[in-house]
Amino acid sequence: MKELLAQQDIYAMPFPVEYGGLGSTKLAVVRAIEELSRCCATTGLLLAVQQLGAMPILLAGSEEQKRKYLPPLARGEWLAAFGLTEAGSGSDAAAMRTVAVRKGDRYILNGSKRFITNGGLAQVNTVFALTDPQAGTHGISAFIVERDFPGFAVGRIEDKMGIKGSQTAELIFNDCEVPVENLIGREGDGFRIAMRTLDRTRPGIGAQAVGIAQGALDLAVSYSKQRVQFGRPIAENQGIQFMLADMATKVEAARLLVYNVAEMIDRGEERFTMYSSMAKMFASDIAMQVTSDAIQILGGYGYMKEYPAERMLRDAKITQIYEGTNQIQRLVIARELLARASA
Amino acid sequence: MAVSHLSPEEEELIAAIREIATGRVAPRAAEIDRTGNSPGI
Repeated sequence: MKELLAQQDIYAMPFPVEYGGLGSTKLAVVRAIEELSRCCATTGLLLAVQQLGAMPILLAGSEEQKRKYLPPLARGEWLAAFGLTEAGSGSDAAAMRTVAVRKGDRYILNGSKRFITNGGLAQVNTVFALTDPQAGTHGISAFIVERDFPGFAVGRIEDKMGIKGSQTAELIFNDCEVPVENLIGREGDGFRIAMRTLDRTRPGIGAQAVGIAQGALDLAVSYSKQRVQFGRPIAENQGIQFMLADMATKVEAARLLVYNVAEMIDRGEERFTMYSSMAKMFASDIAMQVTSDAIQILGGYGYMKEYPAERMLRDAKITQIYEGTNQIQRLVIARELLARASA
Repeated sequence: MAVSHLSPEEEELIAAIREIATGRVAPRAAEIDRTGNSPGI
C-alpha cells in the first residue's frame, strides 16, 4: 500500500509544491484520508501519519531541514513518525522523561517513546525531549531523528486490537546523537510545535473516523437490502430503517465538522483549535456507534470475521484515543469555550 | 453528501483516490488485518 500511495502521488498531497508536493488544500487531504479509510483504515492512516510526522518540520523547520527532509517524504520514499507519547506520559505530555543534552555540535538523547505509529519504519522521526527539565512545557524541544543515527533503536512492536497493517513500536534513545542542526525551531519551542501540529492533524483522524463509519454504513445498507427474514428484506423493517437513518445522519454531521475545520485552516483562520478537537472527538465517537450498529444490523454475521464490520469496529476504537484522547478533546473544547465567554 | 469546495482538479484527484480505494485497497483490507502487515507498510 505504501508503494501504491507513492505511485499515485497521494503522499505528496500535504506537502508544498516547492518541496516536491502537490500543495493540496487541507480539505482535499481530509477527503483523501476519508476515501481511503472507507475501504481500509490502515491505508488511510498512512497518509495521516505522513502528515503528522512531517508537520513539525513544515511549521517550524529551517529552510535546510525542509529541503532535506520534505521531498523524500512527499515522494513516499521515506516514512515519517511523530514521537511524543511515552510509557508514563500520554495525555500529560509535559510529564515526559526523555532528555536531550547539548554537547558541542550534538544533542545527546536518552529515553524512550511508546505507541509510535510507523515506529521503526520511519526514516524521519520528529521527537520531543526535555532540554530543560525544570522548565515544564517550556523545557521541551523538538528534534529530527533519523533512523540510522547512532544510539537510536526500535524496542517492542505492539500487538494491537485494530489498524493491524500499521506498525506501532517503541523508540529507544540510548545516548542517541542528533546534530544541532536537527533541532526544530529553538530550544523550548517543542511543546508549542507539538500542539500546533496536533491542531492541524486531528482533522485527519476525524476524516479517518468518518471514512470508517461510512464504510460500515455502506455495509449495513447493502446487507439490510439482501438479508431476508420473515419473507422480506430486513431493510423493510422500520426498526432497521430508523437505525440506518440515525447512522447516516451521524456520519453526515461528523463529515461536516471535519470539512468545516479543514476549510477554516485553508482560509488561514487562526482560532480553529476548538473546531479541530470537536471534529476529531465527534467523528471518532460516532465511528464507534455506527460500526457497533452495523454489527447489530448484520447480526451473527457481523460478529464474525467473514464480514468486515468487526474489523471496522476494532479500527474505529483507536480514533477515540490517538492524537489526544476524546477526554482531552473535551477539555480543550471546554477551556476555549469558557475563555471566549470571559474575554 | 456534505458540501465541499474543492477545485475541479482536486475533485478529480479525490475521484481517482476513490477508484484506487475501492478497486485496489478494499480487496486487500481483510488480508492486511488478518496477517497484521501489508507489504511496504
